[in-house]
Amino acid sequence: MKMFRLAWAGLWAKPVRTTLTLVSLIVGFLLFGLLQGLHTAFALATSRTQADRLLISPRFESPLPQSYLGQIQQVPGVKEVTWTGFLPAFYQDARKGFVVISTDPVSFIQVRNEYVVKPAQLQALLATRTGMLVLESFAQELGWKIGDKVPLGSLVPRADGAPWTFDVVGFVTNPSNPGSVPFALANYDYVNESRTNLKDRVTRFVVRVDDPRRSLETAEAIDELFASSEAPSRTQAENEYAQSDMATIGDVQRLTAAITAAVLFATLFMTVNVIRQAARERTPQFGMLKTLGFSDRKVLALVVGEALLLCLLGALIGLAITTVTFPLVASYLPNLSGYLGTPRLSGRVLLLGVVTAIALTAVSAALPAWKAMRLNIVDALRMRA
Amino acid sequence: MSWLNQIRSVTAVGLSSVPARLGTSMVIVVGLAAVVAVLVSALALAQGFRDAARKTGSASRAIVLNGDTEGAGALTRENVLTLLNAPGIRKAAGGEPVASADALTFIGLRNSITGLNAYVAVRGVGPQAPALRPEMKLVEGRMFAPGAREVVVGRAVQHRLGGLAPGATVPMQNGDWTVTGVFESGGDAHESELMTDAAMLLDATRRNVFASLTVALEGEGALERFRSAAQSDPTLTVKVWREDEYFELASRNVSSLLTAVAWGIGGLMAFGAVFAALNTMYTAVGVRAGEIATLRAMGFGAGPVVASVIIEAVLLALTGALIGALIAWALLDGSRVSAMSGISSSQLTFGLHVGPALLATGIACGIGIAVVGGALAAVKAARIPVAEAFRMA
Repeated sequence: MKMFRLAWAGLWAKPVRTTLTLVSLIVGFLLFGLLQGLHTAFALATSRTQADRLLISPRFESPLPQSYLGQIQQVPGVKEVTWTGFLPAFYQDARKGFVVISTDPVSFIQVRNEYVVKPAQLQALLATRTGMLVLESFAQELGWKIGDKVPLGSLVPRADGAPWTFDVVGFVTNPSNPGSVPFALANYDYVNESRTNLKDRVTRFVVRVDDPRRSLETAEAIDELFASSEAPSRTQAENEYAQSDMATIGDVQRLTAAITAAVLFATLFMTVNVIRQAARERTPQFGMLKTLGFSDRKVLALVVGEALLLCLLGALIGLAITTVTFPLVASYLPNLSGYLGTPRLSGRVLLLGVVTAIALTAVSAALPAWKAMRLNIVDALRMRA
Repeated sequence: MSWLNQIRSVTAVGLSSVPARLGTSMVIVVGLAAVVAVLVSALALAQGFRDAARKTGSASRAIVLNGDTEGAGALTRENVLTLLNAPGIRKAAGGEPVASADALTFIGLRNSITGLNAYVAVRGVGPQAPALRPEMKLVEGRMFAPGAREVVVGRAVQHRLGGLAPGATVPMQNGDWTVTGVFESGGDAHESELMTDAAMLLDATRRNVFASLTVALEGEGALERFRSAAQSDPTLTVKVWREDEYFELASRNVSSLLTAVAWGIGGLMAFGAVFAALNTMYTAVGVRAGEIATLRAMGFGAGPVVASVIIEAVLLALTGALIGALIAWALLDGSRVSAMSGISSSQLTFGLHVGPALLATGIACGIGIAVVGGALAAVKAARIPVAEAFRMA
């Protein structure tokens, strides 16, 4: 506590200089917060949009065999793969059709992460060969409940001539799109075994890639695999518009990074000078403190503490202003907020700001603090106050 | 001694001590370099974008849309025929109207420089397109042949993505098409596109509607005649724009955003720099207190002292501003960048030119910062009581 008060007093020994430095620091950290805030908001938005999904469909007429799965999984850039077979179906009324998606439920839910299923119901589907998860709003419309055994009509007949029958084991919801077209999820193996068309084939594969900005490369690599096979593929981004947005955002991120670097460099240069000068001017004082019995380390701590107080004070005020002004600034970015939702200030940015302030202290106080520690009392006191 | 002479001597004395306090003086230089570099770069970006967008249109052409943007347009063949019969359209020697109904699609390409995705607009044009857009010039290879799966590539796309020389292929919706040539059109937005035959493009995309219709105007008053005929036809729900006005409007959102961002960031940095400059000059005055007091005692006036402090600040700032402007110029001048355009919802690639006007703006800002920062410190210098300063020194 005593050290804190000493450092605080030292900081305000030259009130004008400290105030001026503080204002520069506040502006620097405000800029840092705003720019990094946008930078992080874009990065988060990138991961949230579904620009990282590729659809693999047949290039020509021949449907893709399910056995492509293993090869697709090996392609660099592919994170997760699932596959779907569409079975057009209806319940009682042939005019109200829906799609039974026969798939591997676990990978499907991973790749299509906009769909939500209760884990227990997903387990039930895995355990029940003839099970089915139904879009919740659609199930309500039809009055289906868990445990119902529902016979479905389809243009695709079963090999044995019997009607398609499924057990309702749970529900799927899509919170991000409540008006989703009706569908149900079923086990690929069960549907595949009984169907008369598309046997061992899929309607399409759905891939999630590591880096959406390189998805075209991944898509090309996938299509190359099957180019000379009997069933060539055509791989496309699920949302091409979102992808070209990502490219623009790539430029924005480079820009914010460059400007942030310029701001930090100028701020650092200023802080280094101010701290060095303050320490030099107070050399006799340090000599005095040592005479009074302050250890070398305490003097070092005093210099570092003073610098830390200055930088943290600047950073905290600057970041506080950022928190207030960020929503205002973000609302001025119509293009971006339209596609990605209004960017929000991430807590990580504030943390990063504080870390930067500490780093700033370390760099600017290192040399002056070292000098103050090594200071010889006689030399120090010889300097004129 | 005259005022001017006084200022000169005081300034000379001050400047001679700059090397002794190089560290603090450099704060102004570095700070101003950062401010000016960022400001000039950001303004260059905004200006380059605005110029490219503005250049795209011509006052002697009109564009007809039936959607908010070209991408949302859906003009049928009947619509186009009706429009071509409207008055005000310039006729070619053979009597056919000089106009082009354009089809538009987007294809995914790989940027061979960065390896990243890039989506590019492909514009299908009619047979009269060369007469309609005389600014478009083939600079490499040959034109696409109507009815063939061929495209020509805008110079800006080629620069942005690399590759795409004549002989290369691009993946269209119905297979690979061949690049036959490269065109330039004065750095406008069309240079960011691929161009082909409209009929082939509609066939490839399995569509039968056009994105827009562009017509050449006959001359004085033709726009009004054409517009009133087109907009009053009951079979049409279209909007007619003078082409340059349309492109300016379409890009205005992005353009004003870029300008606002440039001044917003630049302004904030400048604000911070004023305080840094003030700090430096305060320190300088503090260090020189004894020297200033001596000068005052020798009979130098307060005015020259004030002037000398401001001059010193301005000289330091000028050095910084020049360095910053030089950095911006070296990094950006002659380079090309791309941004979301608002025009046909594709990326617009445009050249950056860091010209004298921009450099002057940056340097003027630097001087402004120095004058504000220096003036406040100068007042302190002028107020130093002579006797006290001697006692301090």
